[in-house]
Amino acid sequence: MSQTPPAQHPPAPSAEEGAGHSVLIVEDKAHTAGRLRLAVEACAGLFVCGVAHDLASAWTLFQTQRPRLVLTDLGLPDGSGVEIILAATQAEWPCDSLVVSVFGDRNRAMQAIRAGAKGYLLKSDPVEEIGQQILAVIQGGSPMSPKIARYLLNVLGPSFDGDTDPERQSLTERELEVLNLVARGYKRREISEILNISVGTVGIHINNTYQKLEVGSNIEAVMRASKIGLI
Amino acid sequence: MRHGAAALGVSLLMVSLMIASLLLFPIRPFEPIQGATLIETARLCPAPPTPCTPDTASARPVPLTWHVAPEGAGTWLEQDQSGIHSVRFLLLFDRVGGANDATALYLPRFSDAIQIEVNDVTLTKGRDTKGNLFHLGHRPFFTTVPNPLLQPTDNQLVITLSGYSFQSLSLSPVYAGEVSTLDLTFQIQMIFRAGMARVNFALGVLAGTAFLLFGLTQRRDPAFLWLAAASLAGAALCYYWIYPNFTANPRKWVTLWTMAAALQVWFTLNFIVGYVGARLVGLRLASGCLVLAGTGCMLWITETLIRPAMMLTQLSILALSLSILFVLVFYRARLRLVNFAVLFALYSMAIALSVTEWVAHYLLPDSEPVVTSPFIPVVVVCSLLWIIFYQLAQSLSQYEDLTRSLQTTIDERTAELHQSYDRLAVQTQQQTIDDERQRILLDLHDGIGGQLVNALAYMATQPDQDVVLQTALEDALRDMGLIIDSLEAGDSIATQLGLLRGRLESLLQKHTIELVWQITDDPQLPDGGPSQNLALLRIVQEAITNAIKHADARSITVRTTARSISVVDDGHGFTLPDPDQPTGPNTGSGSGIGLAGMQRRAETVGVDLEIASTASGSSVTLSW
Repeated sequence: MSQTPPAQHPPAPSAEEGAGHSVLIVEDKAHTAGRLRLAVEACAGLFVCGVAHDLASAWTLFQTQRPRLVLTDLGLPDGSGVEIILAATQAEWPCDSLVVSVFGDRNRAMQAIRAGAKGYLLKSDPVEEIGQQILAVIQGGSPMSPKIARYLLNVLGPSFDGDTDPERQSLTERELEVLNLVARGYKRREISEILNISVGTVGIHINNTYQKLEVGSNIEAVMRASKIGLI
Repeated sequence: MRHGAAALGVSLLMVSLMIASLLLFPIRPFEPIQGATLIETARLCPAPPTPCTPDTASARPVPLTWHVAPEGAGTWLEQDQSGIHSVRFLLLFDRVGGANDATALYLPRFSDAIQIEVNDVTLTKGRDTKGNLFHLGHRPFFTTVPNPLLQPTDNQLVITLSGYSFQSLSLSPVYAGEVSTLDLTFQIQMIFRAGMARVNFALGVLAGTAFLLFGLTQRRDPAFLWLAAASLAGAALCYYWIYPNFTANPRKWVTLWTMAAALQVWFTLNFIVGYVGARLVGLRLASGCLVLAGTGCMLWITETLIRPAMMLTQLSILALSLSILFVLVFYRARLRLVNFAVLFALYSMAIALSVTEWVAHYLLPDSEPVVTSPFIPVVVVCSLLWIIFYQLAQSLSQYEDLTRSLQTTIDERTAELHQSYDRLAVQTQQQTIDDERQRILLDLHDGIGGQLVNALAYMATQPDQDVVLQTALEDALRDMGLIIDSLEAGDSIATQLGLLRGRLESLLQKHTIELVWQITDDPQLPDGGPSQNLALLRIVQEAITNAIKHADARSITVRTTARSISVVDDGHGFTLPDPDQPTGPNTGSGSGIGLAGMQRRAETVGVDLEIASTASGSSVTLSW
């Protein structure tokens, strides 16, 4: 899916402005939305096909523009951005979604990831980095914050009560190492140096971990997550 | 095996001791009675139609008790076609008292049907000594002789005894005398013999019915059905004592009561085996077949074999009784001591009584032992009553125990319930706190956080840059990030450091500073919580932003061990604040809370803060 060349994408009206991947920005704060737009447009290979400030207009733009990627806030005036993430996951065309968040609050971030989001960006991230991360997602990567990594370690990592449920998708030793390093704030490049593997391999491990969370999103994992959430 | 032998030995010893005491110390049953004559000799008469008179009777009198066994039938024995034999005795007695007083005749023991004539007048009308025999062998006999019939002396008393050919006939001494005296003696004997049989019959029927109903409806416990069967068999045994002429068929007559006796013992054996919790299927089946075959065969075998068959059957019943005793002793560990002792005493007594009866009847027919047979059912009934009583007492005490343990359980459960209520209340409270915390987090996040980000984005688009305001907003945003992290990832300092790094990314890029990240160990405060960790992170954030903003560093290294965090830069250092001058020149605007604030926070959390600064770099180390 991520290898699909941009030319095969259904032509969107604004695609004529320049070649590249179309990005729909859903953000209710005008200046923040403007900054995001600048960040996306500053990046070669990306263009903004629409900016929505609420869920309703986001819906219309999503249907008409058929974006390659949706960049959405979660707390919108008329609903949750998770709905547009779900729509992106179920879209007929290849469509990824990323959450933009102030700090990346864990509960909503996990909700978004379960709905199919590839991860989240911080609104305060440097402008250049925002564009790079979007490109990375389109190429098949998934950003992962230390908070999400810590959460995944809690949900999928070795349990303390020693139960070995074969149903549960447990993490491999390498995945555990990668997650542990992500949770401590290491960048992918640093992780690849520490573990002596390529940056791409680190990304594959991270993607696999995400998939295991989706497979493992059975009742038990949810229970454990909510139990941890109580602490 | 040794246990079995020992058990058998104990049982036999007990029974032997009892039999010995019954046989060796007999109460002489035919003591002279004041006001009555004890007639201890009699003359035998020839068979009818020869009349029985002093002239025809045997010249030599025989001593009473006199006994004639079928096999030793002498000339005095009359044998008729229907298998009944009879013998006639002639006794002489004197009238007592005056001319107006009646004289009583009392026969304490004889066998079996009886006919009495005084001076040629029959006094026992309606009691057959031919055909359907009126079996009175198990009770005493008493009659009054009307005065007109009597002469002052030498009245002729003719006693005719009849029985089936397999029965022995016997006559014990006869009393003749005052009516009131002999009547009293007779009544007492009657109570112990026929009276007791009636009581036993009623008890057997009642207990049998009760056990049967109880066994069928309440417990479905085979033990109660065996008890019911044993009781009813006992009642059947008594039936033949109560109704002396219930059948004219000698085979049916003998089979009924021997089989009743045998079955009573066999049912009791089955009950006891179940009662002690044993199985012993082989013993029960074998003995059951033996008993049924031994008693049942008397319906068909030739008449001459009936007597030996009776002897053998009764012997096997005794053996069966002994096996009950044996089972009791063998499995005594399964019973409470008192229960075992009572049952053992009662059953061994019953067996001793039976053996004595058997020995007296077959081996010592001319002896005069106490009549023991009526007491056997009494002892058996006593054992039944004991079992009922004991079970009732056990049930009551079990019920009390159960009630007590139930009460304990209820108390425990109530206490547990109270505890879980308390826990639930705490949990509910915790849940409310968590929910509220989440709400505040979201408000901070979407509300203030969103506004700050938006404001910064706005400022970035403006031509006039207000650096002070921008820095303040950025500091506020970072501090909020720390607060939120401390609540969401508060238990892991390493993760909070990682999150801090993400937020500092843009600042680092702006100043083109390389960050060397060495979070090798997960630092852990000894008694850390979200607020302690937050204070720690604030100090670290302050140290890093200070290095970025004021030290003009090219590289910053953040390093952790399990018990320390250090921030080292290669900048030009800074002036440490003078203790007398808390507000040094470098703690002014832009440096946030400053070094003094960092120190204060470290003290609050209880960690050591070490700040070293030289011209080639500075380091801030937190350790604990």
